[in-house]
Amino acid sequence: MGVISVARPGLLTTVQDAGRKGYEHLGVMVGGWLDDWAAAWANRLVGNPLDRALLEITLLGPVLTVEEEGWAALAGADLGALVNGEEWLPGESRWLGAGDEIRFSGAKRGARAYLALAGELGADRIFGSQSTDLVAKFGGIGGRALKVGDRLTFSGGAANAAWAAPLDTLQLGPVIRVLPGVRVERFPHDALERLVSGQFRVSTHSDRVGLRLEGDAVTDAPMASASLSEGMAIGAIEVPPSGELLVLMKSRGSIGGYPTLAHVIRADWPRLAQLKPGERVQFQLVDLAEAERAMAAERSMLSLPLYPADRRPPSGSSAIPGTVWVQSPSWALAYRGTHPGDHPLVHVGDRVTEGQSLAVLEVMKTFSDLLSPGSGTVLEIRFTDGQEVQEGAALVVIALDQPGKGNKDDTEN
Amino acid sequence: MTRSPEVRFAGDAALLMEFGDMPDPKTNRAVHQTARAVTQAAIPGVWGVVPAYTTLLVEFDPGTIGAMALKERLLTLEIDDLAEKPRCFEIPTAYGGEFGLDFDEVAAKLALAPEDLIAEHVRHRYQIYCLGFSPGFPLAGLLPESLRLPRRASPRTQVPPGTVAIAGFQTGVYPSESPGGWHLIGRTPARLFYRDREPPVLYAPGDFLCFRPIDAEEYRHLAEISVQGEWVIREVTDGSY
Repeated sequence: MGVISVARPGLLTTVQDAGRKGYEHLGVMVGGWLDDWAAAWANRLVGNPLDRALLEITLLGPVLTVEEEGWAALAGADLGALVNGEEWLPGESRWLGAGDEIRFSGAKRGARAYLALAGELGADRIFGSQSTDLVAKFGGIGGRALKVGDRLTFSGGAANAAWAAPLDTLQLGPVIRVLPGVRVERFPHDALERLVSGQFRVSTHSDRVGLRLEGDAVTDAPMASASLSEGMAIGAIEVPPSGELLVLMKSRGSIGGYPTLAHVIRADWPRLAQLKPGERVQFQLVDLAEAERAMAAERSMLSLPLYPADRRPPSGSSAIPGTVWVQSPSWALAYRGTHPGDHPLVHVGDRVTEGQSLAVLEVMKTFSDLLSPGSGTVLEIRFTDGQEVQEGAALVVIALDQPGKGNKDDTEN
Repeated sequence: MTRSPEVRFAGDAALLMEFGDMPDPKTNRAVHQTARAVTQAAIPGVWGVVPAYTTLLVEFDPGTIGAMALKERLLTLEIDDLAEKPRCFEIPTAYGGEFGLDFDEVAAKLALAPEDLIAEHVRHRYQIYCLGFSPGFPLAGLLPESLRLPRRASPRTQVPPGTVAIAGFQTGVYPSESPGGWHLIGRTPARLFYRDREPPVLYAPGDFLCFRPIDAEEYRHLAEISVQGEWVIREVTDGSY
C-alpha cells in the first residue's frame, strides 16, 4: 500500500471519479472529474481501470510527500510538476519512492491536472462514488478539498513500468464547439449568431459549478427566466438576466430556470475544464453528426498504445509521438472547404491519407491546399472557416497511423 | 399518459422530454412514470434522469448511444401507468422571528397579519413535483395566489438547514445549508436527508407535504430527538384534514 501526505494543499485539490450517477432525481449532483479525457489517460498510464478515483488539481498544485512508495501518473494540465526538483511531464507515469516530494511550480498550460495513484484510493464512498461534492459536503476526503496533514492511501496495482501517452493528454484551444440550445427559440433570432461571432473571456468567478464568461452581449434586452424550472444539461450555455454567460459544469444544480442558448458538445467538455480565468473563448456551431464524430474519435484515441516513458521525446507537449501538427506556411485566410463557405473538406474523427487536402489557404487572392503529411485520424481542427491565421499556426492535428512518420519534431523514434 | 411528449435535443449528451407547459399533477405524474420507466429500462449509455415539473431530462454518453437512436427508444418505451398511492408528510415548522428571517417582510408584502400568513401556509397541503437544488430539496406546490411572491432580487449566500421557504407558486425546505433565493418564513428541526440511509429521503415526487406550526420550545425538543438520528417528519393520514 502507498501513502502520500499533504504538506500544502494548493488552491483546490479534490478526490474525483466518474461521478455519482443515478441520484440526480434526489437532488444529488453527478459531479466527478471535469476533464474525463485527461483523467482516463492518468488512470490508463498507471494501470488502473478507467473509472478509478484520482486527484483533480486546480491551477496551483499542492506539495505532497511520499510516505510509502508506489506508482503514479500525471495527465492533463501542465502545472509545473516537480519530483525532488526534477520535471514530471503530464502524460507520464513514474515510480514514487518514500521521501520523494512532489510540488507544482505554477500553471503553464491548462487549468486542471490529474494525479492517479496505482490501485484504489482510500476515500469516502457515498452513493457509489468517491467524488468530492463540495456543495453537499460529502465524498472524497470528508466532503472537502485536501488540507495540510491529510494522508492519502492507495492500494497499489498492476503497474510495473513507466509509460507515456502517445498524444497530448491536455486538450487546449479557444474554440469550443456548440449545438443549438434546447430553448434557442426563446431568444431573438440573431442570438446564436452573436454567440458564435462574439469574443468572450473566462471570469474569475468560475468554478466546478459553471464557467462564467464576460464579453459581447448575445441579446440587447435581458432574457427573462422561465417560470418553470427544468433539468439543465451539463455543457448548457445559459443566459441569466445579467447577460453574463454561464456554462454549466458537472457540479451544477440539476434544475434551473435560465434559458439555454447553446450546448457545448460532449467531446469538448475536457477542453472546457482546461480554460483558465482570463482566457479567451470562441464558439463554433456544428451539427449533431460532427459532435458524434468528434466523440467517437476521442474514444477511439483512448485505446492508442502507450509508449515506454524513456522513449518519449524530451521536448514535451509540442512533440508528442504519434501526432503531427499541420501548420500554416504563411499568413493566410484559412477555409474549411474548397471555396469559401463550402462544406468542410475534413471533420474531426475523419480518416485521412497522405497528400489529402485538409484545408484551403488564401494568400493575396491565390488559393492553395493544406496537405496531410501522412495517413491517420483528424484529432483537432484549430481554425474556423475564413479565419485569419499566422505563419506557423497549427491548423490541424492528426494522430498518425505510424507514429514517428511525418512529424518533423520527432527525432527520437 | 396524457399525450406523447415532445423530445428536444439538449446538446449531444442529453434529451429533454416535454410533457406539457403547465405545472399540474397529471402532467407531473407522466414525468415521473416516464423517469421510472427510463431507469428500469437500463438503456446502455443512459446514466441519469432529472424529472422536473413538466419535463424530464435524460442524460447519456454519446460514445455509447446516439441521440437519434435514444430518441426513438424513449418514444417507444412502455410506461407503467400504475400510480403509487400518494402519502402525506408533516413538517413541524417554527414560523417567523429567528426561524424565518423574511417572515415579517413577506407578511407585509402580502398584506397579511402574521397569524394569517401562518394559517394560510398550513391550511393547504402541497404536492412534491420534484427534488432538486440540493440533496433532498422538495419543490412543492402550488401555493395559493395569496402567498405568491417573486424570488428575492438577490439570493442569499447561506440559508440555514431546515429552512422553510416560498417563491412564486412553490414552497420547499432547504435540507442542508446552501445558497438560496427564496423567502425564508420558518424552520423545521427535522432532518430531511440522510446520505447513509436507504432511501435517503422519506418522500418522493407525487407525495404531499403539510406544515404544522410549532413554538420555540417544541422546536428545541424535536431538534434533540432529530440529533439522535430519529426521523422527525412523519407520515400522516389524509383523515387528519
